[in-house]
Amino acid sequence: MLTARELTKRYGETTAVDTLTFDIHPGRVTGFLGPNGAGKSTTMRLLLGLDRPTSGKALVNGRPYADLPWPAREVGALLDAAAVHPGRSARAHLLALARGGGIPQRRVPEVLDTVGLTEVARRRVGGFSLGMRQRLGIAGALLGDPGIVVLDEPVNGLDLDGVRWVRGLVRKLADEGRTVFVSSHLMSEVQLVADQLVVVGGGRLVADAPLPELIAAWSRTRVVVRTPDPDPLTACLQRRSGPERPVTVEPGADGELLVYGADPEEVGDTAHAAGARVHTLYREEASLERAYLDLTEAEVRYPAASGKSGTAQGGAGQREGR
Amino acid sequence: MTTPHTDTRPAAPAAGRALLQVLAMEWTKLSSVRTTWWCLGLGLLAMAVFALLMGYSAADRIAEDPDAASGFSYAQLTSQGVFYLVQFIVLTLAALAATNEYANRGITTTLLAVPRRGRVLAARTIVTAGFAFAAGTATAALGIGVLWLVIGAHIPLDADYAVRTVLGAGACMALFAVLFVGIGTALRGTAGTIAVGFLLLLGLPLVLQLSQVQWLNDLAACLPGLAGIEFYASGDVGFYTAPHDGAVNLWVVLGWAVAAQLVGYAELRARDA
Ligand SMILES: Nc1ncnc2c1ncn2[C@@H]1O[C@H](COP(=O)(O)OP(=O)(O)O)[C@@H](O)[C@H]1O
Ligand SMILES: [Mg+2]
Repeated sequence: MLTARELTKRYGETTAVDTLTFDIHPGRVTGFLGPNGAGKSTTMRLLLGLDRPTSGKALVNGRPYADLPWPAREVGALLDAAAVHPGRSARAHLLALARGGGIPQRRVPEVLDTVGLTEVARRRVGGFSLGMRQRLGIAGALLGDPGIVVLDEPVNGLDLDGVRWVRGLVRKLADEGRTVFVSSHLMSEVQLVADQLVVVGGGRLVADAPLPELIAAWSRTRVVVRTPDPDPLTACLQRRSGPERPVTVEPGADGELLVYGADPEEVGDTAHAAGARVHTLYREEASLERAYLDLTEAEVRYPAASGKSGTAQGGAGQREGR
Repeated sequence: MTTPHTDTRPAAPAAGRALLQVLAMEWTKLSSVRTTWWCLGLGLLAMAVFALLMGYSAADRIAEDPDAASGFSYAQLTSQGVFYLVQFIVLTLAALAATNEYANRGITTTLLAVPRRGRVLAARTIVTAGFAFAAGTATAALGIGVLWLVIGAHIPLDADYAVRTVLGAGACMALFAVLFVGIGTALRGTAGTIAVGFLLLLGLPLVLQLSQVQWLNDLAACLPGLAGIEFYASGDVGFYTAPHDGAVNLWVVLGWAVAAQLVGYAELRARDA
């Protein structure tokens, strides 16, 4: 169990983590989702006692990380796959960690086998690919057979096989009853493995809910209409809006109308009744990725320059989704 | 994979056992990097070459003028080898041991395994100092041995005196390791640590001596490099005479080492990893 209470971390002017409160429970995979710079890594570093919170509490099984009697047996973490001396062999790296954490040395070949690095165990890490380093980092996290596993963007740099392998591993760890906390900046990635999602933007909590609940809340279907007579159609559609079924119309980026709360048949009939000519009419599923970005980007202080401002209101539907 | 440890909470290991674990970790890290052994090899090689050169040139002088033998000192020459060569290797080793994990971010993995920062610093210091002691005694012994091979026929070697030089060099190199692990932990940069070390060991004392002002000249003896050689050469330094001899010089080095460790510890505690 990982606990954050009003957790805050400031770096000068930047508030990287802003009064975050959540619990991460055992037996399920909790995805930690947020765009780059949302504060995911910082939150994990606070939970693991690497950084000191500006205020608030970060606890592991109810106590600060540094107070755990056998931290390496209670928590295993992968924060930065590159964080290994390039001149050391994979085996020596793990051996050092095992010795420091009071973990039996027989675990070293076991975890090397688990991550598929047995063959290269005696090679120096400097020659490893990013994917191999990522596997070595995961081996380090599993070394103490911990009840809590924290992985920061574990699939970065992995090929498709590697990504699938991580998904399988994460699932298995949770099914064994462990607490699994995995960060990602991609909805599409966590969607495939997470049972629960903690979503952050700009250091603040955006959502903390089971995945199906979030999908239901965030999937917004809409109808896209292209018409030379937008005004009469908008007026007619708005007249159909009622308190139990609100219909909203928004202008799209290219002059089309985006209609929420009505199906395509209804929109077509309304256009006919309003005498508005219709050139295009189709249903669009706004992707979950889009919904998540829309929700978090309000919180992001330094949004990427490309592709955000124009599409915040819509336009990026299924065709742009992954 | 066996059952997870979520709810099992074995008692923490006793402090002694915990420190042994961290010592084992730090030794595994230090010894599994080639640089460590390259440094040791370089120190031995440099000392052997130095001793050969000095030995042969002394043998030449003695062949020309047998009276020159009275000016020859095993301890003096060996100590100069330690001063000009070995101490900089110890500086490099200690700087790397203290700072390399900040360059490659390995410090996060280390602190995850051992979140008690004082324990990490203590273990790292002890392991590096132990290695530096071994390097100091080995190079000094090698220097004396090579000199003796070259010149032993002309000048007898006083074994007691030789042992004192060897152990003195070892002790002083160990204290230098303590000092530079402390500075490295505070600065976190390899280059900066080596630069500061170079100034303390050689640059500053040379400048102070150049000043030709007596009290500045004496002040140079309070810097770790000169105090160190004054100690392991047992006062027979050959190029500088400090105002005081003997153990006080070891205390000076120890003072530097303790101060550096305190600063390093404070930094390690206070700053984010
Ligand atoms: N050591 C640091 N010093 C200053 N700013 C930092 C530091 N670490 C992180 N930040 C800032 O905190 C914010 C959150 O960063 P991070 O936790 O790495 O986000 P994420 O992992 O979600 O991409 C970013 O704006 C980042 O620039
Ligand atoms: Mg990150």
